Amino acid sequence: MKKTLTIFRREFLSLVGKPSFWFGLIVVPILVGVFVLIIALTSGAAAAASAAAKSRESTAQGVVDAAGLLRNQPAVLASQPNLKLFATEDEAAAALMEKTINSYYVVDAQFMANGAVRYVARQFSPIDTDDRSDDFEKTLRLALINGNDKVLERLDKPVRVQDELRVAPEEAGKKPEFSPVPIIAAVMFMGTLLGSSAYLMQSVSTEKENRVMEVLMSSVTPRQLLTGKILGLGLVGFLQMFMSLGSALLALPFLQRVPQLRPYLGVITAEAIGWSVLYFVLGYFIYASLMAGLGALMPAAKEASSYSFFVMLPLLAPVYLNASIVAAPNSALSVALSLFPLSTPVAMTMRLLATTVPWWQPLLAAVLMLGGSVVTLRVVERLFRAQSLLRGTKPSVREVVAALRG
Amino acid sequence: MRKIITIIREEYRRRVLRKEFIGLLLLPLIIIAIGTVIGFITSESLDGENRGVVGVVDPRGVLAGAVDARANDGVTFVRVKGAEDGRAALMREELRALYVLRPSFADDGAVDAFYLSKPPGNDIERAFGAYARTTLLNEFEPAVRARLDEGAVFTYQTPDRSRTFARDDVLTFVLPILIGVVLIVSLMVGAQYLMQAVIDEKENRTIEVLITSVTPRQLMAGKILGLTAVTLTQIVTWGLGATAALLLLRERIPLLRTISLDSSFLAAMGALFVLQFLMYAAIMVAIGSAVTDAKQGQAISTPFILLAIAPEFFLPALFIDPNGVIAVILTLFPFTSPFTLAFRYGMTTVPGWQMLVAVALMAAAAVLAIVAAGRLFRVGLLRFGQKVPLGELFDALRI
Amino acid sequence: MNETAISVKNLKKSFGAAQAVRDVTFDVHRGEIFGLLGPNGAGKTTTIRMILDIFRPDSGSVSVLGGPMDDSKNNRTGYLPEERGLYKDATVANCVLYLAELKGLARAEAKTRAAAYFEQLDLTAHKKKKVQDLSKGMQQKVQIITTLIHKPELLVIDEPFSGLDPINTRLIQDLLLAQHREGVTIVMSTHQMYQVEEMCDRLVLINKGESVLYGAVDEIRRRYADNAVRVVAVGDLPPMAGVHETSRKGNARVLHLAEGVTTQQVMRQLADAPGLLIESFELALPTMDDIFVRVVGA
Repeated sequence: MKKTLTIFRREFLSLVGKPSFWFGLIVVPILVGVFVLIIALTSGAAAAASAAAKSRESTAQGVVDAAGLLRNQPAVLASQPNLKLFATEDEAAAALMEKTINSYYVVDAQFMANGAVRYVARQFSPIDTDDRSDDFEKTLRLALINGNDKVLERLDKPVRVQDELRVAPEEAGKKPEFSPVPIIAAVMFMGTLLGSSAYLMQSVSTEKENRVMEVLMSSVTPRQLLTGKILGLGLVGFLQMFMSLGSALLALPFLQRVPQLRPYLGVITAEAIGWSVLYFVLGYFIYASLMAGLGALMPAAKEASSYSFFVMLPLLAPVYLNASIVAAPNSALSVALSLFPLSTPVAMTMRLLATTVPWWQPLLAAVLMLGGSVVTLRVVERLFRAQSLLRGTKPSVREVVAALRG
Repeated sequence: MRKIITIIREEYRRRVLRKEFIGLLLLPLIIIAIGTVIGFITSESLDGENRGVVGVVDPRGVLAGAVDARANDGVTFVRVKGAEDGRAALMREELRALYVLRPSFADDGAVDAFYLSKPPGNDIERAFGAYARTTLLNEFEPAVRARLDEGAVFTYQTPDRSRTFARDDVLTFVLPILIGVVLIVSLMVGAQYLMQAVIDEKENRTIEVLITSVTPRQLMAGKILGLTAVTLTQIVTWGLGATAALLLLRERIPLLRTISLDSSFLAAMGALFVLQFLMYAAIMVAIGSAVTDAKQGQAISTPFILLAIAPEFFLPALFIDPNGVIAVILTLFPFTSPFTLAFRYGMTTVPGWQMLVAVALMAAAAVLAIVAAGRLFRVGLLRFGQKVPLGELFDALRI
Repeated sequence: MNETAISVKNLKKSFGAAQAVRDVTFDVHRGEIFGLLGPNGAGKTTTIRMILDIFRPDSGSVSVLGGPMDDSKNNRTGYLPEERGLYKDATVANCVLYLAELKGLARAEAKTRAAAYFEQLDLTAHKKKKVQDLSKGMQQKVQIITTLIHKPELLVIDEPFSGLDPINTRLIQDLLLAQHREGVTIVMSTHQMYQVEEMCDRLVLINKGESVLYGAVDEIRRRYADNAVRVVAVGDLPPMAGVHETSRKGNARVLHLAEGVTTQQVMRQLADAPGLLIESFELALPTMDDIFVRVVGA
């Protein structure tokens, strides 16, 4: 027990004592802030520059009306003073070169049959606020119905929903339509879980590479080593978790005061937080032992980390499928993912924050995870034997199976 | 020269003739497969929300002539006698939603919507609008009706008329960016691998043996060229695969038909990539030779990697003003030019002179990096297990 | 004195299809320096790991300090593995303290003892440095400290002198002999045969997983001695009865005696030889090197 404690203390202190740990905790958020600032400043500057350039440019647009649609509609044309008619495209192109117009449209001669319109401009950006082709399309449609804008308005908006009425009785703790909170929470959980269990793997691999393992093996049993490591690095993970969770909960009341944000924050119940924390702790034991086992099997950190993706996959899957889980939190897929012990910490957390989960599901998930962590610890203990820990080569599949059999 | 070729061949073979390399070549297929699965699952679970049978209560028969429109997309409408019947059907979950027309509907389109527990989203509301619109359109002659319903089909064109794309053509915008991202990632992977290879050889002291047979310059040249060949193999394989897939699928998927990448862009990108790879390879070899272990190497190489992905921090600026000052500077600056060029190409025409200057500057930067790396390499190479003092590195650069 | 510190009987261990240890049997007496010899890949390290309970044997028995290995005995054993291992990115002091604590030493006690060792081995100036910044020889010394700091009764050391210069070799040798004088049992595995001759009381030689030679060093050397004497003398040797071959070795001559001929008979003939000045006359014992090559090469 004393030796386990010694290992526990060293693992904890060696991680917390590393500059890189504090770098990640403090400097990285600051750097992110700096980057956001750069982005904001440059895009602000770009926006200002582009606005200045555009203010010098003409706002007029040219039209080459090969279909003859607008020619007979002086009233429609009069309502669009920005449009200039050109007889040929060459004239319009010349005007574009001289910058008396900033772009032009060519309405195809067969417009009535194919609807083709060509828009010629210097640049196209998906967020270009200057793109007025929608307005031009409206102008064309207005010309089709002889300038009757009442009719056009009815056509564009044939239906106006006045009241939306719910038929089913209200549920308790109704969740909002959309809230980013479940996804943010899931990503935070996943990141911390993966970070601390990856660190555990790293620490096992390093001891193998350094050959300290043999010295350790002559002082402690593999079980003491595994327990000490899991607990020591777990403490760091839990601290990180509670720090981020705590600051999120502290910030919440302030965020809720911002009226624009309130609808998106959703309902965060104490129940959801309690379960999530429990899943996080249990999930840590499962993933930490899995990663420790991987570290024990592989000869060096490089090999171990190239296989770690497969271990992490069940945790990543719910994050990839977040849209589906948040949209249909009680679908078969969502329920299955949230009950599968390897993905529970992320999937169940998302569901708890996104919907009302039947009371038995969180309980069943916790029981399954508890069982899962006992089983993984047992299995990994078999891998965590001197023979694997002192091996210098990548094991064959047969050797892994043999080690698992014990 | 023969020795350099021996090194090139060895470096090339060691990396290409491996299972991992084949895995890397197949990576795009795997990503496409995973993306398809995720997309399928997501759209399946979302579609259920936006589809189904929708009831309409229309006491005055305003919508008597309405038919299911093209745009309905999985939503069908049924007539329901009265609001009470409709609510009962909602409770029995026979209807996804129920619209009850108000008396003024014919003039202003006013309706009330009923739902069980989840409000009908925009898709259902849009489908109902399309359904109701069919009665309005009936008043027009068929030719005008089709135009009013379908609207105009816009194509966009650059002023020199060299490039044309459809209004909603995401691919023209996304494809160059995709090419840029693939190239940047390949650059990072290749360059990091090279650094790791140098560090490994230092750590296991192979370099001590190598250096008694070849000069540092030969060793460095061999390594850089060997790995450039590896990365080019990878890029060319991907390029050929993508082209083949494009030609095969073109007939089936209309979206792919509009793709046009002109040769000057491809040539500029190719030249920029090869030169940038040489530059990064030189930088990474120099770092690898100056540090003692992989962790240190990572720490020192991170700023260079950040430089290459810097355009991402300026994306909003590039979006807003793809021909602005920031965009031009990033296009010409060697570390950022390939990605910026790719990004701008999707939105605008990049003047030929900018591409030429970018390639010229990149070539100069690559030569500079290789010369500097050659000097650092010699100094750092045989220092095992200890850091090379900064001063010594600067001295090496000055000679 | 002749109490048994380690008793190994018919050890067997295989990894998959490879049989690392087939049949190894030996006893180590309390307080002696015991040599564990064998060519590369003979199964020495596997045997050591089984003694220390790092590996479980497939069959056979190991008894350490009077019974099976347990946690308290673990704390009474010191182990210096062949492949040296220290935390490269930890400071020297922290590394030593951690490994000492894992051997059951209280932190304060570990600190005092570490300070004494640093002083003795000229490491005080380096104790705040990271292990990776030390030279190979200094890392070796740190490793030795971690092996000795908890005052073990039983030391198992694998190749203690590899990579050390003569000065450091002497330093470590003295350290080990001091431990020996204090009554510590030392099991030493080495390839340097002259060290075995100089330091070990008894030895076992393992080849291809089996113990092939076992006993006191002197006794073994005598056992492998040919009937020969080594003579250093000025002047020509006379032809002698009972000597069937004479060979030169350096400035000495080795006389190989026929069967049944005693050294006294030869000595007498030499004493009577005119004009011969005898400087030394001794039994020609084989070196451990010779014995090793002869046993393993056969």
